[in-house]
Amino acid sequence: MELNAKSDTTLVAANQLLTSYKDAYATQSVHGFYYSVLQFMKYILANAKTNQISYEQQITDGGDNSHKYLYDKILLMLDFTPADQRHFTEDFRNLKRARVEADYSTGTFTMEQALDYRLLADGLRALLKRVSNDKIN
Amino acid sequence: MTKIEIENDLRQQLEMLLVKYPDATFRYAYDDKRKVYLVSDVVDVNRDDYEQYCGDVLRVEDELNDRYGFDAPLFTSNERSFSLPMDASEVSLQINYMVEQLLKSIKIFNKHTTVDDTYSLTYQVPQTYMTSGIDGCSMGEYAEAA
Repeated sequence: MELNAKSDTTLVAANQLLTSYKDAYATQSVHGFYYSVLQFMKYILANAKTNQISYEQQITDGGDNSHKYLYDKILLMLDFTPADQRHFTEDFRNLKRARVEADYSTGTFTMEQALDYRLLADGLRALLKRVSNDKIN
Repeated sequence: MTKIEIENDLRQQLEMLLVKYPDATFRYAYDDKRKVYLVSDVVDVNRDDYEQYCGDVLRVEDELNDRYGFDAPLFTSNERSFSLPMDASEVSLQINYMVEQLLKSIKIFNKHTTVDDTYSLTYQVPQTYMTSGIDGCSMGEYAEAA
């Protein structure tokens, strides 16, 4: 299964978790929203027309700091305008921090709060699709 | 790094942006639940130098991110990704900037008017601006010097 398809299903699963169980699993859904974006980033890098980075290479090169590695590589590959790069960076950092809070802190998210992160994930995926459109196979 | 140190650094960085973009406004607040500063600007996305402005704001964000990592302030534009409370702190030169623009207008206006016209114009300036002025000069002093 290609990672763009996995990204889609991760988003659907996180959304389902949120809409079916509301506050009960809202915290876990934030995890899914973030990883949906990360999987799409991996797909772009693995399917780039130039300077393609295979999934295996991404794992090897990313090492212990794989998320930062993916973020840096996406910036290099997609050649964002400053406004798009700002949008991407701000929302990615915001979502990433929420994911860390969701997974590793004692705090929890309500459904209402998690919905904000779904919007961030939707926006990030749409931005990545638009900017990568002519750069991937 | 303490919360106060991060706030001081943040304010300093935002004030440096205002030197280049005096019409910009930044608002920020500390989110007690997330334990992080949230920052948003108020900006017209149709401004001519918007791309350059975004590049400069992003440089500040990256610097803060490098320094504070997980504790670095989170940014957004026009409160697109999160909302700030009504009592959020503001970093802005708006009033001073408006006064400066007004003073320039007065100087230009004075070159083409009589003393009596200038006197009438200074009386239309709101009292709050009269007291703040720029460079320690009152509005009246600027009008006289023009």
